[in-house]
Amino acid sequence: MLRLMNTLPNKFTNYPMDDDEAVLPVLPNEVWITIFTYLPFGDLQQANAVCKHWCELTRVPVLRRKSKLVITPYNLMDICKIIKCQVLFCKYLSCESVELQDLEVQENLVIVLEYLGSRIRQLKLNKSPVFSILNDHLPELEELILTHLPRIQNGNNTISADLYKFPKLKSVHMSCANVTYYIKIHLLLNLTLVPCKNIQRLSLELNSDQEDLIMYTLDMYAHSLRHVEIIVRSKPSTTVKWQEIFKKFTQLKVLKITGNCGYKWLKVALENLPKENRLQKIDLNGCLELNDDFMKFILNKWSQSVESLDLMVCHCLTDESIKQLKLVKDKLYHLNLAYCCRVTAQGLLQGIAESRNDKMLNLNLSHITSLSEEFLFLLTERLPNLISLNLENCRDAVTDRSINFIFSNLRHLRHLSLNDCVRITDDGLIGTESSTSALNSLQRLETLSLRGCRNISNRSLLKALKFQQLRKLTLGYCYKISSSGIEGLVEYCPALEELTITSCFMMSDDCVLQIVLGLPRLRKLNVSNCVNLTMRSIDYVMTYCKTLRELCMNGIDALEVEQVQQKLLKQKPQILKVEL
Amino acid sequence: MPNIQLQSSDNEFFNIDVQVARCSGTIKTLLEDCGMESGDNVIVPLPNINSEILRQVLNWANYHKDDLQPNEDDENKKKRTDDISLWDAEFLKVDQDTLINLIFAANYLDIKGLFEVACKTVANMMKGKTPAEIRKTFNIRNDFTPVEEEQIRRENEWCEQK
Repeated sequence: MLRLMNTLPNKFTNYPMDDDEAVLPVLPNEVWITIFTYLPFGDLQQANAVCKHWCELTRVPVLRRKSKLVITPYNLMDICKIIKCQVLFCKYLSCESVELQDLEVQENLVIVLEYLGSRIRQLKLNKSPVFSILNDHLPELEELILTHLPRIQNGNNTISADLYKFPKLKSVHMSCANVTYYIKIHLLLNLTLVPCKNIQRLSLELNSDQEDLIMYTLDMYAHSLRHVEIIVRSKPSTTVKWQEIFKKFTQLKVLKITGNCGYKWLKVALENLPKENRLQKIDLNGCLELNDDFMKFILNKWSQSVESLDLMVCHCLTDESIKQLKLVKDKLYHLNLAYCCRVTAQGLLQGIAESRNDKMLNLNLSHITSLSEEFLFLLTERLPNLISLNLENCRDAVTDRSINFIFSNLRHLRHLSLNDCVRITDDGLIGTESSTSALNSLQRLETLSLRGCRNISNRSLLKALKFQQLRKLTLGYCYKISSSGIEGLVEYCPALEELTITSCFMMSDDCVLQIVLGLPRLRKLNVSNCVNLTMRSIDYVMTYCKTLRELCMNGIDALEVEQVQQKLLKQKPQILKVEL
Repeated sequence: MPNIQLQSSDNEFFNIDVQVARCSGTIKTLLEDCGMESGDNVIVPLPNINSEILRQVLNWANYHKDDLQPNEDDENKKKRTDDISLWDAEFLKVDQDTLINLIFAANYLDIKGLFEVACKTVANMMKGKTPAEIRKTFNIRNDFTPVEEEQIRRENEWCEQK
């Protein structure tokens, strides 16, 4: 007999040997890190606060990638302090993704960028027109996102951002309507004067004033672009020039054209876009005039590559083209047909669910009101892998009977919207004595929306909605919900980060107290139009809620708006967004 | 089918066929490196794994011996924890010490499938819990000072999901 000794590799080198920590299960660090990679962001943050060892482990770069550091006037000073006093510690703060919110150019921000800038790959400027200090601190920047920049810095007439200083820049998002044209034009000029050779993605807003400049930019980058988004605000003035531009693209994979472009222009664009651009995602949300013939043309042309289609409010579409989705059903995993109200069950079944289809993951059929219970039965049976399903306002289809098809067939569901499906009652969610509800099988549900399901009462909250991992719940116009239901809610959905309970007049200040005491991860709370709330609710939020960042309490008469705003600003500046 | 013997830390010998043993990347490499791919008449000592755990690991490997190796290029997919098969879920209904020891053994022996599914099971045990509840579940001592705890809490508050 041969005996192999001491030849196995030693994998025990780096697990904690500290004797004090004997209570901690002894696993190598990399094993814990692997376990943590399976946690969603909210749970990772909890693990981070368990003990020093885990705190360190949960901040390794691979896990840190899940989070984004949001720098605001409220925390800027603290971040600065950490950088100045605990330089060793500031590596933990470092993030590849950073958002600047409500900031203006100031010394502290420069200091922060000096320290954290070298790792930043994605930067979002949100209400922070601070271009002038970006240039020299972001060597790794790949993605620049602009939102809410209605003006440039006070009293400073130049934005002086030089995009060529970011050699790795791949992606610029500036399609937001609330970003001033001054900034958009500046950046477009910047892109055209000194070419950024790595640009792959541009999100632009097309407005008649800048049409020439946008055409020039797209023309220049046509060969490298993989992802183009054009939000059309005013109808393009020419088709001939655009035709030439679309001919030049060679590696486009994602194309989004939304807004008021007109059918003729859209047709020119897609007809001239060479087939060699293997489009995977096509987003034509809101193209009101998109008709069956042209949809069939698109499906035929890119039948080999299309994986994702957004066709919201394309209300000319009928079963004639929807049936042709079968051309792409081997790849199609995302389909949005919200408000395509001429589409019927028959077309949908033929297009995407003639037989079992394992590919489809995300489906939005909201406001297709003609759908029936029987349709849902077949659909849920044939699309067993759905992760996200939106059936808002499919009133006839969604009943106590059919929600049980959803619950029992769609075991992988993580996001479910049943807004305005008024036929749902407690009995459907809880189940009756003879048939218990299959709701329990949706243990992985992360978001659930039941706004306008007005027949739901406390019983559902106490007996049916038990989701350990639910992060986001929306209830609205569920006027039967009161304190005893909220008690169940906080007990059975402890991981909630966003809670919306609007227009529920039985909601009292005590309900708010239960919520802020019972939901330790709560970040956003919206209790608008819960008319019986008073200033006491505000006091509860201020006293007990540590994690809240957004508070919405519109339409509540008893609130002294100015007084509340001042109070919050003074005592809870970390609540970044307040709507009253 | 050629056999191979595994020796547990408490000196129990397990006679298993080579195909099952090859579920373990560690043993597979070892056999190849030593030019003993047939594996006949070989004893592999496993001084870090006791017989109780080894028996369970082999039970798992035996059930999964015909599985395809997991695809490496699926790395970019969002990591799921809801795809544990019924058999595996039953198999992993064990006390926490055993579960941790199984992960330890799977990692040591490099048995990817078992390692993955056991890690997911542990991750699921953390989900939805507060730090205090997690400490209780895993019997971990809170070694933060109140000041440190507050600092961690605030830094977490500064971060959002990407």
